[in-house]
Amino acid sequence: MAAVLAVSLAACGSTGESKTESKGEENTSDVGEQIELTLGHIYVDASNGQTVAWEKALNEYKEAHPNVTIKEDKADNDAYKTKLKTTLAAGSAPDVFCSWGGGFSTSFVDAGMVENLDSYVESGVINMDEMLPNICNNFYYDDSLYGLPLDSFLGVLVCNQEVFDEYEVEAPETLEDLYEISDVFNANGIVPIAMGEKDKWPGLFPFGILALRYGGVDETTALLNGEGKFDQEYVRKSAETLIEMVDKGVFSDSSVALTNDEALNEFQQGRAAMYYSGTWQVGDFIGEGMNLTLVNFPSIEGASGDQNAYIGGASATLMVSAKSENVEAAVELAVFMSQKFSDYAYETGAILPTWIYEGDAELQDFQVRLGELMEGADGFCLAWNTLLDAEAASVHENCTQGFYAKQMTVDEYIKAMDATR
Amino acid sequence: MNRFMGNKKAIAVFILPSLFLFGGLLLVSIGFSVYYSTLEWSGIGEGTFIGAQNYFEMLQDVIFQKSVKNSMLLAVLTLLLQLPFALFLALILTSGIKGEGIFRTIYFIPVTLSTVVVGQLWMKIYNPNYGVLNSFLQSAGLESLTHNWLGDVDTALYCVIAANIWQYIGYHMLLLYAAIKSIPQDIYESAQIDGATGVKAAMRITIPLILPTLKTCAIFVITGCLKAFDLIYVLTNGGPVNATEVPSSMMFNSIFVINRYGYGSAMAIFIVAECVIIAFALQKMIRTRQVEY
Amino acid sequence: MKKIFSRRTGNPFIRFILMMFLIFFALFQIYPLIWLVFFSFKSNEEIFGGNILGPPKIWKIENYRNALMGGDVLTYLLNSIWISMAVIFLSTILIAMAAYAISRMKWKLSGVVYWIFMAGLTIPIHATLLPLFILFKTMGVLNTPLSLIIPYTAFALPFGIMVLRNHYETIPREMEEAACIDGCSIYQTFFHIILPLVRPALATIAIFSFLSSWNELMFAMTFISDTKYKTLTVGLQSLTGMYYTEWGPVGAGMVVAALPVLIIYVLLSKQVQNAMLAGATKG
Repeated sequence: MAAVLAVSLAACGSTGESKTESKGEENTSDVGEQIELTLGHIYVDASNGQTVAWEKALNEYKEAHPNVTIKEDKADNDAYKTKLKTTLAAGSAPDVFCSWGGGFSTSFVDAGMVENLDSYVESGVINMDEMLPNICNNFYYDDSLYGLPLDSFLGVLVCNQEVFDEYEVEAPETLEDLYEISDVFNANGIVPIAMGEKDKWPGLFPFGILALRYGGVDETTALLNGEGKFDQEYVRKSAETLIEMVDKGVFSDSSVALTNDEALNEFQQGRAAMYYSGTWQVGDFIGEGMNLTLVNFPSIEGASGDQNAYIGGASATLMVSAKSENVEAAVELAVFMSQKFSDYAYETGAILPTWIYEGDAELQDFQVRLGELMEGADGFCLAWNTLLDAEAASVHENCTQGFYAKQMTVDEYIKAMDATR
Repeated sequence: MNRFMGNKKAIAVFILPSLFLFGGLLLVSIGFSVYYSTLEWSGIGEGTFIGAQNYFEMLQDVIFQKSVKNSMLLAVLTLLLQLPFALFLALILTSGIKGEGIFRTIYFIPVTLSTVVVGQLWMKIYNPNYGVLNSFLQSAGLESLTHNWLGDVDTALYCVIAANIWQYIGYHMLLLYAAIKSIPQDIYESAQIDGATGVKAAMRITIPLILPTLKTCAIFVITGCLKAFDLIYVLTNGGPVNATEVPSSMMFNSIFVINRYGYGSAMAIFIVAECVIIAFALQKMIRTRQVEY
Repeated sequence: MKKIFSRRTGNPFIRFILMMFLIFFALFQIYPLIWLVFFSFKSNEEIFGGNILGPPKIWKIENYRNALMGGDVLTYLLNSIWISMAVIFLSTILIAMAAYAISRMKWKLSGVVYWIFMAGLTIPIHATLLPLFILFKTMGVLNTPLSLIIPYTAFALPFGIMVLRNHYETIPREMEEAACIDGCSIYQTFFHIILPLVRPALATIAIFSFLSSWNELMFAMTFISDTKYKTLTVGLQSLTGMYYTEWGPVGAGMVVAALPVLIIYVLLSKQVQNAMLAGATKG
């Protein structure tokens, strides 16, 4: 046991330095001792760019560590969440597992199921300088780091340039512009912004960005992290404006009946002109040959928040089980996967990077564009359901769905949210 | 004879494996659930004991009350629409009509589909833009009736009920069909001599003789609807805005989404108690004497 | 022996109306499925605008290829089949014996035991997820087919016992009395005399046991992590996630998932039919 520890500690030093080359260099945990690590993750869809990148990274790890057997425990997103919670409730967890920052993992951390990564940062196993600044913000609990980033995303307004050209309108810069072009689209039977609100989470993007426009990144982040009540002017204004957008037909009447997949479908088929959500699908759209214009959500004249802030950040994370029998090896695996996945998935345009990319693959136009948008941003904030604790997130999701269904008033919403504090 | 039928060892052999397997699982499930229902527990780590508080909260929760009403509406409508239909079909099919086998198979096909399939299929049927329902209404000139079926708080629940009935009519039809088929022919023969045929035979002979099975079907429909989950989860997930919530979907949500294991377990116990009481009441109310023929 | 007396309703007009009704209802039951088969062969253009209701103008067989190649569908299919077979086999034996003990044998606790099984009908399956997960983990059968076979069999018992009990009650007591006089043991009586009499019911409950285990999703998702043990319902879930843009392959997947069940049902129901005809001529 001591031998393994000594060797893996030595390995930690070298892993930190050379990040692109891992083959054969530091033979970390292979002192001939066979160990098995379980890896829980959500990358199951072989046709998805992220899965391709994940498997590439994993294969690379396996080749460099022949003495480690990796047992994958994968399921698609929703099934995975149920399974992870069940497994954790039964008192066990995969050695390394995907999770989400903010409210999702609070109970796991509080119960001591997750390994505290501070010591690994200090020893250099985890080199924060090689990651993008502030990328791990959502993975700190009580000021300690508990998770490594998996992907980051940006909330962008994706405009189908072909449709825009057809009706001779331009990408909206202000909210008024958005209302104007929505009228044009509606008059011609095109849905302005595709929205699949049956799944509840897509509708949080417009709400979230409105809060940033009216209140700003700092205010919103503080509120979501537990400070103060929801009865604030910018929250009210955000809700009111969302209701206004729904009434003016910016979203289709049937948004509450459609799943996100169906909304994506709408956009892809050209029946909706815009789509406002994370950058996850942009690569796929481009791959299908769509001509897209990417912009931030319009600014609001006279609003006192951050007009060029974005919904975005890193919410998916890789965590290590505190009860793992091979904790050091598990942390090493997590660092490896976090970094390599970031590199490979970025190269194919599947995600935005979380580690500083030093490879030399050629980036596609839209990636350059996204990079531009990110650099010019005022700040980022994740969607509300990620940062809030599970119960408040659920109330928020239900009420927001109520806004889209024209069944909820601003007062009812504020009251329900404050009741969770 | 009594010793023959009362052979203790034989009884043990016949019943113990099943009882052990089933009882064991039942005990574990209900036992754990009752225990959890007394806790405020996020599912991870330790929970805090809060006694019956979950139950009080649950009974006062407006959305939970609505979910109970929804499940009862589901049960009543399904019972009233599905069972008579299934009975009618079973009667016709056993009356010697042509194509009996084919019809029987066709009616049963929806039952063989998994709920995921049924849910996905009906989601597409109800799709406001490409679904069969709206397309059909449009081509029949009834465009004004087209709706945002699953997204409208007023129609969503009825859409779920319709899909549920569609899937399970064949199930009950088959049960009743098998019951009718096992009635010996001679009874009908002697009845025919007395002049009773057709509808009269059905009303006076068939129905009373299959009353046990009818009762079984009724109990299945009601308990099945009270604890229904799968179809609702796939079709609407309790939405829009809680319009189609049922106790099971709330339980699932409590446990797996908002991490309140204790609260969710209290709901589970509620469902179990509700079903046991109603099943028991139904059994007592519709007394069927053992028919000797 | 041909039936001399039938229960045919005399009036041909009424028979015609009834037939129309049956046909209309059959269409209602089956049209959604016909639509499913249609769009499983269609391309996106036809599904989303060109040809929503009618048969495909172009038959896109690639949809099926995509659905079948996308992932280990064959493995899932085989897993589902053999797990379901195991469940049918085990549950049918257990049900037949337990229902017999409850309805025909004489012992004081029969009523109580019956109610224990009935209580099982009331349990919402999802509430048992965590307790069973912990139980199976302790037993060490998690992530093996046993973790599915055990609960599927157990949960099939209440329904089967309830149905079979009803059928046993239609058998005259004289059957056992005669056997007893002839010197048969209780086991012989059960296996050689009683059981053959309820074959239609056995086939019926076999069908239902098969169905509930074939279509089950929640346990299959949670208890099994290894791809080599996964079942078809789990595979279907990921398929619908993969092909959100194309309904075609999703439809193909659903048809593939539904086909085996249909075949088994048709086969078993022929058996049911024959058994019933044989039974109908019994005095």
